[in-house]
Amino acid sequence: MKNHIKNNLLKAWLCIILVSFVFSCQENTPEELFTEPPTKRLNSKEQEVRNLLKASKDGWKVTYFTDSTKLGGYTFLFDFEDDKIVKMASDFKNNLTAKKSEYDIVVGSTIKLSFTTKNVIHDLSDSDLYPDSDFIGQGYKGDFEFLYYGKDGEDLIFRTNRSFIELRFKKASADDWKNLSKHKEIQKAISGETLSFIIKDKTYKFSYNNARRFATNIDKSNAYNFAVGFSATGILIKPSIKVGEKQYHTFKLSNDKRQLVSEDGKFIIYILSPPINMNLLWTIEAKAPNVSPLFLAEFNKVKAANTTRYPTEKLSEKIRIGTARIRGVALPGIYFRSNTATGGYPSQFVVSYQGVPGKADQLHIEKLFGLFNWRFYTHLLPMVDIIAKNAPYKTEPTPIANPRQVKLTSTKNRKIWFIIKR
Amino acid sequence: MKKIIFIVLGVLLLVFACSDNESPLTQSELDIKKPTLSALDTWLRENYTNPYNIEVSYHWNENRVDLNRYLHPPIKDSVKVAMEAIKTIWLETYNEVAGPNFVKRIAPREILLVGGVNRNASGTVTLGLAEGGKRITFFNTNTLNIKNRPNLIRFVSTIQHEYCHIINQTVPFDEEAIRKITPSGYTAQWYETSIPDARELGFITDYARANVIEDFAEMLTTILSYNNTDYNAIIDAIKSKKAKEAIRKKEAIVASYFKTEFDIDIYELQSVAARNIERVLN
Repeated sequence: MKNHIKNNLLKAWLCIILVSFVFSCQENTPEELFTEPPTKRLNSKEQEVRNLLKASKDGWKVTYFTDSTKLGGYTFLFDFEDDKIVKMASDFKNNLTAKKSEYDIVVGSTIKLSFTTKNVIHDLSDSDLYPDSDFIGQGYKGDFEFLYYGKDGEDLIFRTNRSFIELRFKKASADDWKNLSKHKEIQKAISGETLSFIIKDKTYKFSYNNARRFATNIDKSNAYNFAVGFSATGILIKPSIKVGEKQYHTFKLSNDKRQLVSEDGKFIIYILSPPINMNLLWTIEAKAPNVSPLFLAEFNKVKAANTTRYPTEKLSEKIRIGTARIRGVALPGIYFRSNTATGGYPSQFVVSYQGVPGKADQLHIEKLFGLFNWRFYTHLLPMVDIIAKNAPYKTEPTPIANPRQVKLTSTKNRKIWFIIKR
Repeated sequence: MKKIIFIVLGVLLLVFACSDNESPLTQSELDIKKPTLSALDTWLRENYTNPYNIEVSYHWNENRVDLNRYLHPPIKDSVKVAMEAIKTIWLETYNEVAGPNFVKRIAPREILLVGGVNRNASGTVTLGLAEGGKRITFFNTNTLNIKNRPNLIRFVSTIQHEYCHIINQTVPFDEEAIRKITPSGYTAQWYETSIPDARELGFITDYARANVIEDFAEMLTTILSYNNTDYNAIIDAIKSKKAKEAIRKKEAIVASYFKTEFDIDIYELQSVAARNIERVLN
């Protein structure tokens, strides 16, 4: 009897173990994330990109900053006509008229948009077309093969094949094509000008290099250096300027072409164009009544210093200011001439002529460096200092339009004034 | 009886263990459609690929170029102009003098056209490349002007130069014989010398100073870029007697190499090339 019970207990245990084995099994096959093989998925992605590119009625617009630490942004308009032909135009060089070429969507490790025959975008990747000698062999460091990274709202996101710079293709409008030439007008408004903005009462000034489309801090600190791209109404910059919690990157050119105003109207980049045309060459006749007595006294001091240094020479009373071309290079400066019995020697100190933020009638003069023949005439520096240290000047042009003469009166010391003529 | 039941059960298990849940094999998922050929593609096939087994590529393909260089593809309209000039001046010249099988036997398998100039950081320009005897790359296709003699000769000299390397890779020339003519003149800084100065040192061009192999190729390229009178005038204009003799010695080695190895008269090749250059120019 005892044995019978024991057998039954053993069988019951065996049953329990068996049942627990069976029910302890669980479904551990991982869930399939993709229902289709990779090739099929890539192919359908390729078709999706083709369809997306063709779907925008007036094509796509992109501002491509090729290297925002040194170069600017270049705007391109693309219209993908069919699976092979793309029409494009750009505000880079003389590419405003749309041209056609071929493109392809290439399936590799990812989906790549490749512009396979020459069009305007390739001008950024031309080893022989560079902004200056620092870029020999590199052109504008551009790429024309873009890896597809997906959609963000209506925008298409790509990254460049060579350096993974993000590009945002935005839907273009018919006006974008029509207004591309306006980018050039904006570019003209800042070309060769000093740009400036104020953050926490500190003024930052930038020299804008039009060939590179890049603004460099004049104090050489590189603080806030920015790359510039153009729109039909203003500029786009990269990186954005951070003020408090706000990031500013899109600006509109004011009607008087002296300011670039942020979208919220709270941040301004001033275009410091001088109130008078300093690309011309003007003359100061250093004698009464063309200059103030104090200015004349200072001039007579350097004139005497010049005679002491070079007894056979006489410093000309005509000081030229503005821009002169010396040995093929036109630079803004202050020019002196030391006459001899048979001729004379010119000397040049390079300066920067600028406007003053918020003061449309004032001219600022900033000392830069001595250049042509200056090493022989360093004793003339006090005169440059008098002119530069008393800047900015209030300007009184006569006549107002296209003036022939302008009276400059120091805003720091009213006893310093002089008249420039041409 | 028990055994039979087990066997039947086993067979049934085997049969029903197979399930038919695999879809049948269909066509490849890869894109195997034939590419549509444009009129240009058809022309290239008929004039290069079918007769000579040379593929001509002009669409951009990042795997075929140096990505460290800022280059770009050609303007489509410039491709046929360039390839017609190469056909007349290079292919037809060799066909006429060396016979139609010469280029078929010794030829690059691919010609790659690149649109832009390949400017090096040193300021020099690379006109072309021959990679492993298989592919010749032409740069600067976009600025080819076949009605401008210096421009045309500069462009076509790429194929004459690079093709010479391919011929040399098939049958080597006597490098020592060339080297000992102007042994001290070779330099990696060849671009610091002008062409006239290089000629006064016994080299036909500045690039000939790079090494013996380039010296040989530049000799042949220069011979095939001018008619015999103009070529001789170039040599005669060299002031240094020693340099003049050096270049003539190198010319003799080039002529002898082609005669001995391939039974090609280099001066006949020169005359036909010069005639074909005129055909393209006019």
